[in-house]
Amino acid sequence: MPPSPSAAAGVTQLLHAWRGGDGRAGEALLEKVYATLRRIASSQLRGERPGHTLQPTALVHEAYLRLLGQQAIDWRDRAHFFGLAAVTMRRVLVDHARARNARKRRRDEAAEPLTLATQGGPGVELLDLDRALTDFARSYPRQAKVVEMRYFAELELEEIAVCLDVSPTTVKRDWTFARAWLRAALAERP
Amino acid sequence: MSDERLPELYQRALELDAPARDELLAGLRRDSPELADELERLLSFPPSVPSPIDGSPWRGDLAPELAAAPDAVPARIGRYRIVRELGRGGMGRVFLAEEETEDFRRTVALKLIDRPGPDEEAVRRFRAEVRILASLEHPGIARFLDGGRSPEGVWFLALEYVDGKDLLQHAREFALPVRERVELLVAVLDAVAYAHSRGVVHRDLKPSNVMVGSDGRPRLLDFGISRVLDSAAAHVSVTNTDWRPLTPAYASPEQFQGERVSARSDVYSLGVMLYELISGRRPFASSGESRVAIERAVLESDPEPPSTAARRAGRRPTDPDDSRSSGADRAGSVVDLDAICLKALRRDPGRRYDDAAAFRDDLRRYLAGTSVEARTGGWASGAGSVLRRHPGRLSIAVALVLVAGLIAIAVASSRHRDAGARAVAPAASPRIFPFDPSNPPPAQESERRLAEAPEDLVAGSALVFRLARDGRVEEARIAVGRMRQVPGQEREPLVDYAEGRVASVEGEDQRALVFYTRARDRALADGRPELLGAIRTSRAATLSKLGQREASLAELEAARADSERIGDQRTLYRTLNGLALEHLQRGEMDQGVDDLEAALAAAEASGVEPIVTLENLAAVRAVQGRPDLGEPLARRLIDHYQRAGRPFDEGEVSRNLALMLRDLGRPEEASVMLGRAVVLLRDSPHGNDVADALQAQAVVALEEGRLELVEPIVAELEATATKSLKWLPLGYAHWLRGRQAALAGDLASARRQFAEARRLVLAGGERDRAALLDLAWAEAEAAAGDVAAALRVVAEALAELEDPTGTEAGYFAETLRARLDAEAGLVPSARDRLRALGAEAATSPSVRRRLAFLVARAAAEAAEGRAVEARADLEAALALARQGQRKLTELELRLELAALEARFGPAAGAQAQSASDLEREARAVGYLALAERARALDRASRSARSL
Repeated sequence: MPPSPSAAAGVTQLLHAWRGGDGRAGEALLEKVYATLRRIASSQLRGERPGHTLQPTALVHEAYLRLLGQQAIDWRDRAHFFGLAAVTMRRVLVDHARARNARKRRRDEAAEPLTLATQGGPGVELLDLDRALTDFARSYPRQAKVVEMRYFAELELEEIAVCLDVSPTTVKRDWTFARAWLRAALAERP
Repeated sequence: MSDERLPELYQRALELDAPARDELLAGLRRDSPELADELERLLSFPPSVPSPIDGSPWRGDLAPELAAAPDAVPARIGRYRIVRELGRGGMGRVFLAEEETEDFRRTVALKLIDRPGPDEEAVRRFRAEVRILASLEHPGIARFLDGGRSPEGVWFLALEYVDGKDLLQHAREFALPVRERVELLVAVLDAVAYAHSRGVVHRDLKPSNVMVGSDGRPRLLDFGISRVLDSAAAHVSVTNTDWRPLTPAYASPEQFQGERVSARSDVYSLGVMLYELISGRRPFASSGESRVAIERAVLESDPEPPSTAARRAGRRPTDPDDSRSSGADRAGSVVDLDAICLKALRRDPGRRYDDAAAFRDDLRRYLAGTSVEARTGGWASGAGSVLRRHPGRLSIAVALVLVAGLIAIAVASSRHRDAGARAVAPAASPRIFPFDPSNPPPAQESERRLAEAPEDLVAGSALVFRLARDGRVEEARIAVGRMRQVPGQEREPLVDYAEGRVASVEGEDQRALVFYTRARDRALADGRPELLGAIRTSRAATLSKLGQREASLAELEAARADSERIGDQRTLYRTLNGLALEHLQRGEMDQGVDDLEAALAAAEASGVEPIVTLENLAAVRAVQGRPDLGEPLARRLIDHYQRAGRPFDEGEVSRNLALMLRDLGRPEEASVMLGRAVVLLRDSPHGNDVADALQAQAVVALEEGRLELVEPIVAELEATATKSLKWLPLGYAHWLRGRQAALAGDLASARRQFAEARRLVLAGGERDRAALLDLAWAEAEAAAGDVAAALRVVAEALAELEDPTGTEAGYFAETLRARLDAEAGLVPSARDRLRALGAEAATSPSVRRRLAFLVARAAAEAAEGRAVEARADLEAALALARQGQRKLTELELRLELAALEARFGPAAGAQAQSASDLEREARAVGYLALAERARALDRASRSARSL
């Protein structure tokens, strides 16, 4: 299961290149991570009862292990990897929600949107949240990344701070702001 | 919304208070009205309001529809090397792993879990839970090894890996006969009892969590894990009830309802396991497998006895497996085992066994063939003790007493005994019920009469009642059958009544109701008024069991009228007790008291010893804060128990009486009584009994300022806890240590001890007790000056009670809050609270209540600047304290007076309080915290004077 040394080295190079600003390296990396995560997530999901939880952080770390093995890499690269994983996890979920809706519609059943578990508030659809988050990112990109990393990958405050190269206090503030903003944005919908 | 200044402005606005915030907005509106609008909109969703991103997208209803791929198993998690996946349980993935350190290698079960929560507080709680679980060491419990976050960022729990077959598999494969199955469960109970004594509740007991190894010894898995996971989940989804992690087939009613779980919930689950072990089916298997169906069954219906279930399934009651029957069964009867099982399965937690140890002990009695508590029930060991054990509140468990409709422990006086023997012959127009249904004449007598006159339906019914009372249910059924053969029997209400009684004893309440109703209607139609009172009372009891409270009450009222009309005092006595309990359960205290008093009168008139009534009334008086009225009742009870040779009941009542005497300001008498109680209770097999008495002794010692007496009591409590595996003595021990620490001024230690005490007592399901104990904690916080903490603890204490009004804890919580309000300057609020306590509070016969009230009122008066009144109240309180030898209170009051003087100047003509004297005295007694405060006051007033 661990990658061959050359494969791992390849991924490390991509990471490094991406951090250095190479956009195509980033895309290649994204595809790899995406595929890996889908595989892991599906195997975790299979057989679980509805309402059961996955281990987002475990997913991330597993993906990391699969792609990079035990390679010692720069901790900044590592942090970046996590950020990337968060993005892909979001994509995995959104894809899944869309496919599901499409399937339900085809079967002429009442489309049961992927409702997120919320703490006492109204149920929110994943796709609505995704859209709102995209809006949010246009004006407040860093805050949106914080949300992505915390919400989809459940990364810790410190990890997010390292990845975005800001202080943990800033991350906390970003999160507080994002909570309010998204709440306000999604309250408009029926 | 896209202005880059917005985040910063939002942050700043959050930190301002309302007026400053408005100013900010107003200023902003002048320059950029749109930005102001956006900011305002954001502020309308403050951090306390839930946000869509508070949860997690990985919960909810994700179907496994993603691309298939081989199972992904990580190679390592921290220092654990993964061997293979064990399976997916209800709580996540479990791996078989090997832990390698320098010294050894061992096999563990590794469970991946969610991160405990979004903040440090949650992580701290998680770690505290982990520490508690790791401290459990018992051969019957799989060791909890570790828990936390791995270097890779994965949260996990590591447990000792146990291989084997689960409980039911093992029983099946080895074709165990009933006796050995019971023994197996006893071994399980041993382990659970150990954990309960440490305040750890399993919460998810089921056969798959019990592994039986090749040595035949069971080991429990996943102890306490449920709670760890729950607190992880709690921060995410509250509304998503599907997610609540419980196994419906084994969950207790309170778990379905989301209420607090305690040791009694474990007892329930173990009851289900016992049921399944001995009958081959689960108690509600017929309702269906869906969670909803099971939930409804658990919450609304009663299971049939396991032996009946076994019979129905075509198995012989003593041999669920059709395997070799153990001829050497010297164990108790099937009825005994049924009773034990059903007791564990009671819907009301208060009516089950307290904890695993009590359950196990009764099973052991069954195995030894001795009399089993589940059947002799509350009555023989003192049904009233049910109320007694719930200090400060009238427990719903008194419904126990209503169960068979046979309430009086009729210790027959000689007059009464004769009446019983005579009464079977039907008189021309019998004025009262022909025999005493709660104490029918001996079976032989009735059989003799029937031999002479087989159509004697009165004798027949008396026989049935007697057999039912003695637990000879089969014979009772046969006797009913014989009666049914008598021509004309269908016109005799007694026959239906008797058959209803048998159904009731078998736990078939619906059937019992049918018969009782028929009996009643026939009695009405045929003009048999002397039967109505008794029949109606039994019918009411059954209605109550079925949850039809209104109907039950109405029936009892009718029964009362019937008995009063014909002057049947004996039946009236039963009815009045039933009425009293109904009223009390509804919180109608005065009505309940009236009923009980009337019951006492009826008992007197009919020559019955009204033990249960006395117990109930004494408990009510205690709750009402009327020790003066409780004292004579307690003395009567002690007298009775002495004559009846029941030392443990005598001991318990003596303890309560001692506290009453203290509360009446008679400390020497109280001490003597308390000493006697301890001596009597030390021999009790129930570890909790003597714990109550010891705790009372320690509290008295503390109050009297004899701190040195507390240590040996704490030691004895700890020893009792270890010996009897009970949580209460240990809880008390911690609580006492908390008080010691508070007196010494070590608030940090005190908090730890009080918290541990609370945990243990709550784990045992004793909420009222926990609330009362917590009030001492709140007082300690208040004394140390941490008002916020004091208020928080009070709130937590009250939250533990279902309904604080009318409870002891409720009263003292209010006085404390009134005091704290006054000290904070919130005088109107303080005054409101004082007023709500009622005019009687100031002159209450209960010294404690009066003291609490006076102190609170003095605080209000001081806050209002009315020094004279405040001083008067404090002096009055001081007199009370001195008279009652309450040294600590005395010192505290003197400090208050000194503080008053410092503030308002010395009273005209009165002797000044010397703070330095006070300090010395406090130190001499060991009340260091007060000594410090006295010293501070002394210093402050000296410097004030020198200015």
